[in-house]
Amino acid sequence: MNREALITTLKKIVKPYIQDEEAFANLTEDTDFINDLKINSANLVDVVLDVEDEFDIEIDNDSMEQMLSVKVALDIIESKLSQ
Amino acid sequence: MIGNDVIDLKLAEKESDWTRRGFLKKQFTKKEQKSIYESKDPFTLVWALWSLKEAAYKIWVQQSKKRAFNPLNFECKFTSEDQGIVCFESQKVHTNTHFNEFFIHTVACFDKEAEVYSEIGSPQTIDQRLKKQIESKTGVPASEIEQRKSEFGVPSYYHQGSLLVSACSMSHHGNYGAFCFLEE
Repeated sequence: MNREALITTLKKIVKPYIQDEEAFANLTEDTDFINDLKINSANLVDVVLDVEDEFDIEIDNDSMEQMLSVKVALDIIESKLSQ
Repeated sequence: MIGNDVIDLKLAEKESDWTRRGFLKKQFTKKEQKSIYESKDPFTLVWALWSLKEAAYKIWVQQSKKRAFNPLNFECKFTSEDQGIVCFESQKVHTNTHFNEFFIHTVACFDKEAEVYSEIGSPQTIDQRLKKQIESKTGVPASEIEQRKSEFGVPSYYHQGSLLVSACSMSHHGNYGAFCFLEE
């Protein structure tokens, strides 16, 4: 899966949790889950769990700690998929 | 330093399913999970412990000047109905939690005896309430008080460039907004 396809899938995953439609519509790799999309911190774990289910990967705690932006999420997904 | 967190229980119930596979494991230590499973009211305990973690996290952010999604690094427990402790990176903060059927609000600070002022209200008016409270402490009119946020989202309050309050924490969730600061 290329980066563009990954972003499309990630957008689908985060959509139920976002609280800022405009930031979501303009989502780029630099978009921050909390500061920009206003995802509640209590829902970040749902994003992590949904990513695990969607890509059939396991996100370890060290990776999860960093997963606050689209870019980092994509990097983690890519690296787990290539393992 | 001080941190606080408010949780709108109705919203938490609607937006999160704590029984979802992996939900507890990713965010709560084994000890915390055990206390949740043994609780008569696991739903409330999940969110109470979460509010402890978030309140302590806000202190960690001020200290470390970093952000992370690292709930497992904050080991929490209640030592009485409303008092608790959170341990992280060899440090310990004391917590005080207020519960009712609508919300949970936790304040965390290092000093158990610290004098803390806190308020809960609507998210629309909480910023103004905080400024009014600073006005009553300092005599500076609320309209002249300026909020500044660090790049990590930590608020502090200024008047004409000079710092009025720095040991302060804000929290919003659903129908509630809350703030607290250390009485200095």
